[in-house]
Amino acid sequence: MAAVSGLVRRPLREVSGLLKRRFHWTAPAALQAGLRPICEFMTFNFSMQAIDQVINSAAKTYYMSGGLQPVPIVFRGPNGASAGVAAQHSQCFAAWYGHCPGLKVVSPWNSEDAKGLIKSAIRDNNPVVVLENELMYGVPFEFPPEAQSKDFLIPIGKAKIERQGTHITVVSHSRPVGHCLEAAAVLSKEGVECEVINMRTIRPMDMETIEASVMKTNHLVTVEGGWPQFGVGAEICARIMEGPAFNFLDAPAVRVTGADVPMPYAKILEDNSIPQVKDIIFAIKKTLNI
Amino acid sequence: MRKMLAAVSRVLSGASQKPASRVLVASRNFANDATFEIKKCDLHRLEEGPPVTTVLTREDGLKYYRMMQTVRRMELKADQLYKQKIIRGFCHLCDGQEACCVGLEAGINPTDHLITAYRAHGFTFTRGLSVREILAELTGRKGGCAKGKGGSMHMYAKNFYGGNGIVGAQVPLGAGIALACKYNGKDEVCLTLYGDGAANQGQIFEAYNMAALWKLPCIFICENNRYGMGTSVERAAASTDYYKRGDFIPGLRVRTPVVGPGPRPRPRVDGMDILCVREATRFAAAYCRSGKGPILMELQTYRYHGHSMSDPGVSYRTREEIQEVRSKSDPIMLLKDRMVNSNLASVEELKEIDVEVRKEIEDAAQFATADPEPPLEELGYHIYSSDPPFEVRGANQWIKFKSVS
Repeated sequence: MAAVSGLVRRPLREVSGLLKRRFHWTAPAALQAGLRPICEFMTFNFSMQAIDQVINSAAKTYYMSGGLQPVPIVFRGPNGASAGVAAQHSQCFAAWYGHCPGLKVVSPWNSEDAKGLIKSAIRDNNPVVVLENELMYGVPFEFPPEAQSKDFLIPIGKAKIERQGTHITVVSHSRPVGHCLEAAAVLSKEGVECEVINMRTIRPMDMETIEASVMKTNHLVTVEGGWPQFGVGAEICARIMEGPAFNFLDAPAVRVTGADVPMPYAKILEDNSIPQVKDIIFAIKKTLNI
Repeated sequence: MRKMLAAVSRVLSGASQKPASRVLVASRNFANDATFEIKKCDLHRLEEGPPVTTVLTREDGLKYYRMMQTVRRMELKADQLYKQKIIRGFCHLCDGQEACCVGLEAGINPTDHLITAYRAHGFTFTRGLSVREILAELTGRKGGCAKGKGGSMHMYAKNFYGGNGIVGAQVPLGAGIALACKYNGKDEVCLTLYGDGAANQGQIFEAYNMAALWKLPCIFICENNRYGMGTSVERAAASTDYYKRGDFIPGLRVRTPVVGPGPRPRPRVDGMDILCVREATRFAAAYCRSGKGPILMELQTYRYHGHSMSDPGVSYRTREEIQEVRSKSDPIMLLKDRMVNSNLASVEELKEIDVEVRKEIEDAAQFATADPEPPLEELGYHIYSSDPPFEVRGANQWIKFKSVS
């Protein structure tokens, strides 16, 4: 809850731990009075209780009003699995929010992503969903000098190539980006060079960067924490088929995702319900037929 | 006399392993029951409320004492296991609130229904599960009541619907269970619990409306422990008279010590009073069973721990406040004093119960730490009910799990 302080000049914040969805009702109205609200969810699991306002009161309004009523609002909070918080508190909403026209959806991985993306989200005149990750809040990263400026922005809709490679394109968002880089480090020792792309934005998706990479490497693995059916990876695969990169694939594209189950509590089950480094390595090797 | 002879013969036969003091205890004449005065409840849209006196039998007293002590010790053991990282994730403890779970259970039948939020370990026990099954669920083992798949907030039992993680979501569910009660016509009621934080949620009011409209046998119970996570009731609610928030639904409030400085009434011994809770529950259940529709009950209580194990619980309240409640209004202490002072039990006898309870908890904790985790093959089990087995996708298309109903 303290993550936003310092980013806004004069915050008007009321914190109430359990009134998780109330702010949704007041925030869209507040912006009609010229304010730029940032609505924080304790986790995105609670956003399901307020999802009507996110979609129907925020996402669709500019369109429905024929361009009269913009909705410059930010919804932010931790998304996806944490550790041992079981089924109701571990869901990933990237695909849910990414599905909706009218919304922008970003998913930061490291510190500079977090800063640059939230600043862009606040300055954007549209409703932006910022899917953070609780387990990443405490992870330190190198913070480049340019990122320390107060006007450091990361454009929404642009992915970043975190690691150059030639043999295979590995596309991911949020915490799994770190797992992909770990897998890449292991595979590098075996002579396989992975190009790891950090999506940064779920919607609008940067297909150009992904396609250019696939056209170079001829292989694709997507990695996400959410469930497989109708997920982010599924969308990437569908779009690859629609675009120029399809003809460059030497093997079918492969998805690595969360297991298709509600998140179990017991540690051994939970560990096997999210993509592990070994699962990513396995998928890469299968795709490369090695 | 008969008791004394039996006790003496047990000792003489050498079969008994109880200490000699037991003989003395068994031979002492306790009262069979005692009458106690309990505080009047605040009423909303009710002409009369629960009685202001109640009879407690020795048998019931001992039972309540044991149950409350078991819940207390179980929660403290959970605290310990959490700090040892044997319990992970969320852990919301109810120590301090034992009068609520034990008192509510004392006022209803096992065939009645109960649903609550995440501070549910006490209710899981009072609704009939063993400490073993509860602790093993907290430690995520296959002997847990949900086979290790649910954890702290997702425990279920017969006529107990959890254990719900999303604040307030259980209240419309409770109204639905009450609907089923009415539909089935078996004279059952549903206790639908929520906290002072959830009380401000819109879905609560929707549930009130439907329950009142359709006269559902639903007892809405607000367990007001004064803090919704770290927000005190004064900062969260435009009206802290939670028993009145049902508006057209009659309500009663079981008051409790209001501690701390400020313009508040001084401490009164009530919602931490298990007898008060029991009488109020009996009254509310009778009201619902008579077909008059829903009723609302506010139990003013207090939790010693923070909101959960991640919350030290002292950044939004003082240690002095916690200490004051502990020393003046602890529910177990209140019952103990009453029983001892009215000769319903002796201090030694209650101490023995303490020892037995401690042992039970230790044994359960041993089991909970030694029991193996659920087998990996069962990761995909129980996705659907009553369906033929199917395949479940794992982290990639080559990892498959079988799903069995």
